[in-house]
Amino acid sequence: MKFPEILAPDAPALRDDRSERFVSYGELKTRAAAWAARLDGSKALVFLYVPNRVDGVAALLGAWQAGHAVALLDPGLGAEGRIALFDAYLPEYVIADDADGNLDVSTGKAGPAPHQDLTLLLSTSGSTGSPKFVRLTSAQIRHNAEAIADVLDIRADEVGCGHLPLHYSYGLSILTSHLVRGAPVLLTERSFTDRAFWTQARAAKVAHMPGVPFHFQMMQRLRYERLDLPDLRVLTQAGGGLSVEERRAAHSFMDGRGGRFYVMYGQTEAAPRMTTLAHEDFPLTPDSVGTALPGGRLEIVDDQGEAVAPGENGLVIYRGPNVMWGYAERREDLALGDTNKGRLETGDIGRLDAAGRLTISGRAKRFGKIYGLRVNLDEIERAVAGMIGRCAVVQTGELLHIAHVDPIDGDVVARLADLFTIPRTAYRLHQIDAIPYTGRGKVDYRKLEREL
Amino acid sequence: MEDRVFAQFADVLALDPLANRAELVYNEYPGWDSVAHMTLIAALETEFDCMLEMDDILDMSSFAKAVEIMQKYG
Repeated sequence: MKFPEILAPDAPALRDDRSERFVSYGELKTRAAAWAARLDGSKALVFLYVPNRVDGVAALLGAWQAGHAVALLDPGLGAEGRIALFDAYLPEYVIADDADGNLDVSTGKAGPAPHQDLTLLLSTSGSTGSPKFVRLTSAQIRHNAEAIADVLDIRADEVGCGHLPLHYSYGLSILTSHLVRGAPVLLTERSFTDRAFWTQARAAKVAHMPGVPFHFQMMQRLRYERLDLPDLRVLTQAGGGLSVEERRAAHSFMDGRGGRFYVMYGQTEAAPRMTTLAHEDFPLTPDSVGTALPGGRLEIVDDQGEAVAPGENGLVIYRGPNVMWGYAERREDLALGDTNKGRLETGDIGRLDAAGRLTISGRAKRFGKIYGLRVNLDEIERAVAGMIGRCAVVQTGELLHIAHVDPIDGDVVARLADLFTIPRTAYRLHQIDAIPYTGRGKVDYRKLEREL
Repeated sequence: MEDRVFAQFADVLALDPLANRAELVYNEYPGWDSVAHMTLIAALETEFDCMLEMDDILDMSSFAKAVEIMQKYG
């Protein structure tokens, strides 16, 4: 992977919270080369606790230039989580902020060589301590970056807002889809509730603002028309379902100013984008996530894997050159090749209309999305059970409910906040008399949801 | 006023009634992140039956500041 191909060395590339101007593509290339030199050697695994800063991207591009596989990790992950990941993967290099807040590299262990084409490892969920990674190649990342740049019509003179974390597949795709077009990206670690975020976005002339549902709810509350971003041309929404009413507000705002609003659907497993709903199609199917990306294909099947009748709900299957090779849970798995063969069972339930537009109607498995982060409810339940014994975890809206029988102390939420990146305020603890079970002896989550 | 505002903070941030109100600072107090901030704004808007200005939402950086801002609406 050699992002970016330099289209114009003097063109602006990146700017961050520490810089008042854009670093050019030529300068970025020089900085990436310096990282590549520091990471010289045979194919290795690099852990990059990546900040949303120019040096974070330079380190990523440098590690790729040196030919390594890079795991992009959440810099907010605590010491306990970092040790667990290190032990599972034995990375040769760990790049993370030092005490002064500058990226530094330390040498780690030496494990078996990763597959020659393995380029990127991303965590599958908002539970950043989880060792389950998605394995991606350069070809997959590049294909997806270019397909996104195509459908969103990303132009070299329009600034993307890189406020979503780079270790999050959606955040990374904002970066890569702009880099392939030689377009500039404002990287920031500030949030929408920070006044400086908006002044900075204005000064940097942000044209493309991406967000998960939470960001759209926030922009609506701040009121779109007061955001005062004169160069804004595109809003994109992914990372879970936003209500039709909330989508309408975003669409109508962008429509009124001659811009565009795209609803998108993806998963980290697809590097990550799978569908986009064009701005013009929104009024026709406001609850849809749109059609498959160029080169991709959607199928809806039943439990037996047979295609369902058109318009019927079923399991959503995506095929495309951007589908991951497979998962990894430990170092040895990095030597594996393609185990998915371009086919992804999304775990979502949905239907296709006559024009091939997908509408998602639910999840087949116990996954939820909270503030755009995918949450594996069973995984959280196991973690909580390890702390407090018998419990059951269900999700309603943006809340995560933990039902338990035995009394617990208040530290559980603090410990969970260390382990998972779900906002602390999303947790709700409920002490109940007994966890309900179905006739087959499984936890009756639906009954539990009703009771809480 | 202060108690009405505190009740919303207590609800959103799961505070002890005796919590030190001076320690409630945005991005510093555990749990008061951007997500909690918007939940808090929603709770205050419901409690005071109002819609906060963008400036007020972005300025609400502490409990004391919140009380000051909510004077305008309450």
